[in-house]
Amino acid sequence: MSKKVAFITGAGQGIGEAIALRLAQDGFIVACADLNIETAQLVKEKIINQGGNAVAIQVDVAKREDVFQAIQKTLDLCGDLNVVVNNAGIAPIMPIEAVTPEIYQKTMDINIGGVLWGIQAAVEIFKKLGHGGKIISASSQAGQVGNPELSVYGATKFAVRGITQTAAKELAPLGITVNAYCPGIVDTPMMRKVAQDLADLSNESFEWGMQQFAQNITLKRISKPEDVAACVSFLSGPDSDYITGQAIIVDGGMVFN
Amino acid sequence: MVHKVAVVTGGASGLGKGIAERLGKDGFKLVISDLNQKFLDDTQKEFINKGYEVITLKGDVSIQKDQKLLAQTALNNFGRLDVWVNNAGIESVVPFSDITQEQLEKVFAIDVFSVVYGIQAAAEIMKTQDGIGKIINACSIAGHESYEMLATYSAAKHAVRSLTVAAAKEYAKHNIRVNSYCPGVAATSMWDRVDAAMAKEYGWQPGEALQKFSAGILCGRTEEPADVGNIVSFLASSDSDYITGQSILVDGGMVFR
Repeated sequence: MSKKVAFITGAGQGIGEAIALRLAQDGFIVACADLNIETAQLVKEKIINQGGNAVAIQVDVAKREDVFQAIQKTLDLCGDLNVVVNNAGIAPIMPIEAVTPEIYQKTMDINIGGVLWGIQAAVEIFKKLGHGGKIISASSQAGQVGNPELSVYGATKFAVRGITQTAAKELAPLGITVNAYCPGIVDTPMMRKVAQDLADLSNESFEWGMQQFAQNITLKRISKPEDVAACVSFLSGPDSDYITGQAIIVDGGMVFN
Repeated sequence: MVHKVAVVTGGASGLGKGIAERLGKDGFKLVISDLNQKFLDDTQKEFINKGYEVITLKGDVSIQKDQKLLAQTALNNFGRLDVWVNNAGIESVVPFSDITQEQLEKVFAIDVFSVVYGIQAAAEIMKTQDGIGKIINACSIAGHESYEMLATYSAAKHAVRSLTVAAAKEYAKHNIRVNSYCPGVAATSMWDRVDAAMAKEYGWQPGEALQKFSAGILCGRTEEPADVGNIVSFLASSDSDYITGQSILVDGGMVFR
């Protein structure tokens, strides 16, 4: 049986890297896509060194054409496409009064645009290939409840859930399932920056910053990227074939649907 | 290969059997309970032929001491208890004006009280063990939405969703996760009865209720026991260790959260 192919954006670090490593372990050929081609290549090397199969592709998910080209390149290099993980995102943190038009536009373009173009590009290829597939996008605990200082980020993550439900309904006839994952507080470069920025805003320490987010976690520990990757592994595999339009919360018990 | 132990109530038929089958395939030693001795005997024979290690116990989940005995039986026979699936349940299909006290008490005893007793019984043992204990409850689409002719059942399943959250919060400190799975429309004997009751009330043909209810399912088919087995396999595994208090919809795309 030939290997299945997974395309992952933001695969160069953090959650995206963990997803890439896990799906490679699960037997996928992984297209590691990132704005930063160097980090994408490092992850690709890691996968190959562990006996897996991967390619590295540069992509700016805010640009529709870029996303289409990156997915086409995945098909050209890997021979198939089965799973698309719209993972890339940014998390600007500031009081709502400090949000500028530039920050608003950039965050929307990456966090929502990236998902929309990823869905469109995936559907185009799935249709060409004549088979269905799985589209999985990054929402967040902050896409379930509002978090202070994360107005724009939260808005985009609520939007990802809405797009996920709509796309699931529209694309079902093509054999495509569409789901999302909602991580909580994950120990990644992005989260550490968020914690540091919050600490700076409040004149407190970095640890205080992390604690502000972590204190409401039922499991009382911050998530590792691997925790999220394990959920995405489930959503990428056959065990989730009968699940669509859902946003699975993997946040250690912060939000309950 | 795991050397862990799973209890499945109502595991001798329908969705429960699909769950037990999948957990057996995953390598769990099985303890199956049911009200029906013949189903238990037939299922045990079938599973032993498949190479699973399985014992059975006839019991009534609505009786607190039966659930305690079930947990104790797992411990006595297999030395530990890692996964407890509160699967057993009954439906009740009645026009709202015809709901009786007897129906309410019966449905709540079997669908809700059983979940409390099962969680209590499982947690008592899991608290004393190393590792992470997994308690998994049968919720339903009717635990997220409420349906005509299914008021009692919907209320009961909403209660299960609530119990899942409260128990998850209380037992987290003991390294126990509590989640539920929410099936949609499965063509089991439960739905035969639902269909018949609706046919009687609305003057429909046999099979018409099932057809109407399942018309909008995005995945284009009704639910199979294997679909439920697949999600319970995930919830029983270490891949879901960072998920707790969640009621995950596995309904082929009918209800969206």
